[in-house]
Amino acid sequence: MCGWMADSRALELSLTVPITNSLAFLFTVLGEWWAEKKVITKGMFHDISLGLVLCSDLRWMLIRFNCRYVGWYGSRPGRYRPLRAFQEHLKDSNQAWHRIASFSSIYNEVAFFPSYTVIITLAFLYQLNKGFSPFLVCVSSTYAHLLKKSSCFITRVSFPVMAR
Amino acid sequence: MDPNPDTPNTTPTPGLFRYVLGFLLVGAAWGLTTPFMRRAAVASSTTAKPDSRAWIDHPNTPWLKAKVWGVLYGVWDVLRNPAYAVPLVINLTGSVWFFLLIGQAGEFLVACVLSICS
Repeated sequence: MCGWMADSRALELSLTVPITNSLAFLFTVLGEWWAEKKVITKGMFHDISLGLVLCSDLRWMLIRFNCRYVGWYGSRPGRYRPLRAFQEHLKDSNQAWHRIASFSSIYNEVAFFPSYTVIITLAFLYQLNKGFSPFLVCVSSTYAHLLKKSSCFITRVSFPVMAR
Repeated sequence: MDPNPDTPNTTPTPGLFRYVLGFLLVGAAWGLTTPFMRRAAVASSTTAKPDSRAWIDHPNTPWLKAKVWGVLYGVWDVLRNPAYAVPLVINLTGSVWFFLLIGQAGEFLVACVLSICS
């Protein structure tokens, strides 16, 4: 078993509500087409796709192909360490430079991706400029869970079969 | 009291297919019914009202009374319409289906993660 399963957040994980809500939204789109022959616009389709990608695939892809740790303060390669242990490590190191640099990927010596926070903030700003609503509907519940439980296995739970 | 306490308490866990079906059914109950309810409500509001309710639109009827009775009659008309009532019942029972079908799915998902990482 992986070491990070010792993290108690894993046991609190429940994705049933966000999964069901996302499915309900997709069924609503299907029902609109069935009942009233309404078809979603190209822009809305892009928004939904972007929301789904951000909430499900991005962290998974980052973890799988680039780094073992993807967190709010940046990503780093190597073995996954829970955030608390990472912070303790920074405290022990007692070097101001490390504390500052740990908030970016400079600490990892190799910059792979900007932090997840930066990506999602940029996406939100982009959506805010466009009108926001379909993206928000699709993403809100899942994104709330990501905010609360920002640990690296979240997205692997979303697609247990694909992860195999 | 259990005469043989060493006997493991085996409760059958539903499989992946059952959970996927559960998620789809609950998602459909909550999502697919909404457009049909909306269509039925729009159609119901455009139908002609019976003559027995002409007093609501009469100028001598107090404004508040007319509003209250208008809302009550509107709700009654919509609920009597099967095109609205059937999707509404399915939608409202979605919570029941949620707890019956995928109430234990949280543990199932964690079990999936465990099996992936082990």
